[in-house]
Amino acid sequence: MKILSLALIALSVPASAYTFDDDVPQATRDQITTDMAFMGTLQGDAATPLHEQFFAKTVDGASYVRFFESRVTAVGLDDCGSASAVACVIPWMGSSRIWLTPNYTKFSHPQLAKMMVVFHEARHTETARGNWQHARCPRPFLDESGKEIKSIWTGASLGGEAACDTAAGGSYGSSTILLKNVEKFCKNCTEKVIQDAALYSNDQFKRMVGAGKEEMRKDLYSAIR
Amino acid sequence: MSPKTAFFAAALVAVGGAVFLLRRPASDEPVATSSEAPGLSSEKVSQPEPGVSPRVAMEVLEASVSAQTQQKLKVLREILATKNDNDPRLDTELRTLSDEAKALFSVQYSAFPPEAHNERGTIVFLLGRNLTKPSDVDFLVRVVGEPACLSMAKCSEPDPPSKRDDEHIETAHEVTLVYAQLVALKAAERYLKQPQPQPEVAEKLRALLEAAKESPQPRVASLAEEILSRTSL
Repeated sequence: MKILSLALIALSVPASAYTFDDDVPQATRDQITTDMAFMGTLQGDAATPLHEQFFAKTVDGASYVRFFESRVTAVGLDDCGSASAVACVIPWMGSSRIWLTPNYTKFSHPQLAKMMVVFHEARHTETARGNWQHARCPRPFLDESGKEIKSIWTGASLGGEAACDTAAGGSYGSSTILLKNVEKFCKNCTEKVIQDAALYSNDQFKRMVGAGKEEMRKDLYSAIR
Repeated sequence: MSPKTAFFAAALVAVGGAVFLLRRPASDEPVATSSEAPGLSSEKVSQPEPGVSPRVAMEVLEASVSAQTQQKLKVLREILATKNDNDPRLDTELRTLSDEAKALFSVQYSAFPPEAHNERGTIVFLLGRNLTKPSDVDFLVRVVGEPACLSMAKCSEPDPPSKRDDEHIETAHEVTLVYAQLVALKAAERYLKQPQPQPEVAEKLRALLEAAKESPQPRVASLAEEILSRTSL
């Protein structure tokens, strides 16, 4: 009976295409596996054109898992050089490798927010696109109401910092497109997940500048859920 | 306290008469319960004495509530423990909350440390979906008036300087640090957009949003401003 129980537990944990380094704690492995399984369940009946371009014709969990697993083959453990980082890509230490920090399980982010960070980093693995390097934010860098956007860490303006994207396909853009489509079209999401998708995508959209921002505005903010 | 922070605190006190705005109790500090619990009926729930810790308050309250409310708390805790934000029970078993359940959930909110952003925000979401009378708004007022959380690791302390570009990863943190507050404001928006809101509840929510516009936390202030513009008559 015990063997059968163990076998059933093993079957209930979805197998992943990526490997874990030996030093990745079991709790971290379990959490990202669970979080990715959550992403894999998302379903919707429509999507925006940009979502179709990067993911699928509809909100489709399988396409999100494919997106991640076709880019990330290994998960390691690192502090990513910051006390507050959750995940990062370090191109010179493996282009298809994502690094999770102990904060991945320690910090209390909504599940979709963690996935936003992970999918953001997954985009950064693409060496063929120069790892989708970020663009420098314009000076001054103002929000919709004309107020200067500042770093929460330093209080300094983000103007001139490499903390923006000009292309919709970049890390900020693609993960915003994913979340905004979940907000608009997910059919099996809880109301909380839908609201989280709205809160985080609308915020991340503020890091878009230039032509990519206008392209995304037309794509994401025209259809009202 | 900066002038803006002082003004914001004063404005929120004016909205809700709340007395818990200027400092947040640490998780092991005493917390008041009876006056902050929305819709709490003293006939239904035995009240712990003011000044007891959230954990003791929870134990006292749990022992005095109905089996149905205890079951709702059990479901809430199960969902939070699994960290599954897409648990459908959020929209079924926890969709409607009695006054008793609201009271218990609000004490559960206080029992979490301030760094438990998702847990706290989930409770705000559930209570914010159950605004049925003016006193229910008091809980949201209290949440929006909490002092800023300075870092994900420890709300009372900012992060140490880092070696890498924090601007790159801070977008998620920026929202999560004020997650409970943003969820409270979204609850106000949802209520104000419904076809026939109760005038008294709507009035308190508008006052909350007006006060939140002056929040020293930029994301709270800007969301309050956006919601007011979307829900103006």
